[in-house]
Amino acid sequence: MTAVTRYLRAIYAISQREGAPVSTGAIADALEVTPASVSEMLPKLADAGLIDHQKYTGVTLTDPGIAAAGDALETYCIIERFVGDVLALDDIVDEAQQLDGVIHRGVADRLDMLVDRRPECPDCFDPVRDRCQYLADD
Amino acid sequence: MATHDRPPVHRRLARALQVGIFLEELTVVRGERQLEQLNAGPTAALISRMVDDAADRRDRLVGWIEQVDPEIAADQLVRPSMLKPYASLEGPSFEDPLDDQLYAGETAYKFYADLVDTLPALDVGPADRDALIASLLSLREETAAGVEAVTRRMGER
Repeated sequence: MTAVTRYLRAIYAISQREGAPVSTGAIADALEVTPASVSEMLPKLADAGLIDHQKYTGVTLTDPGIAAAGDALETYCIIERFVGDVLALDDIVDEAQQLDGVIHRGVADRLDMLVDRRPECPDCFDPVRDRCQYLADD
Repeated sequence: MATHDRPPVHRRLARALQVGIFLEELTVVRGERQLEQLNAGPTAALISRMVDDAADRRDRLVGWIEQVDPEIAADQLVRPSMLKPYASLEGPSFEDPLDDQLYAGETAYKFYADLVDTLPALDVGPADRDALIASLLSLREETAAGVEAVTRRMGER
């Protein structure tokens, strides 16, 4: 998983849960990184046109950012469900993270035929636990 | 494995190869079901060949996992029981066996192409990296040839 993907996923999930704009502190908490690290990354995301960053109000995903984050989350959710439901591996998040960035959307779409995702995916993603909230606990 | 243990670094490649095995095995299982319903002829002959080719690629991927991560090879490779729920031929995507084979082939091609692109960033464990890249490139070209054969047969119908 790239850092950009992690950030987009986290901002997307927090926005769904708490509304936008999202504070730097909330992103730092979700990703378990320092606010300084977040401040370092945000200009890169803004330069790429993925977020709108206002210094005192926070971060809002742009339309391309929402599309990229939703796509990344859905791909990751498919991988998590494939790992958990089909391969029946124990450490779903660790194992899914192994495949994240290696298995891309085209292949994930084929795997999606084999898993049972919720209709609300990807809004059911929990950024703190880095997993779909409906996946059974390990 | 305890939940606090991170998987070894070469596990990432091994898991990716395991996905490839799953894709190929799925093609084999579904193709065999399709052949049970097809009369002898050019389409059946093509699907039979696609099944044999997918089985051969699956076996080569198993061989690579055994080199990259013998621990996975021992107890976690795709087992036929894993695929039983997924081999049904029902559903709108699978009404035409050639459509199904085309989708399977295109997905396999994307899988090998993505893995070739990602491989420089992956730990290959004790495996020979150059030989693995050569093998993946060959697998990618073989799946491309399979897709071409299916589209050609579609045009002939």
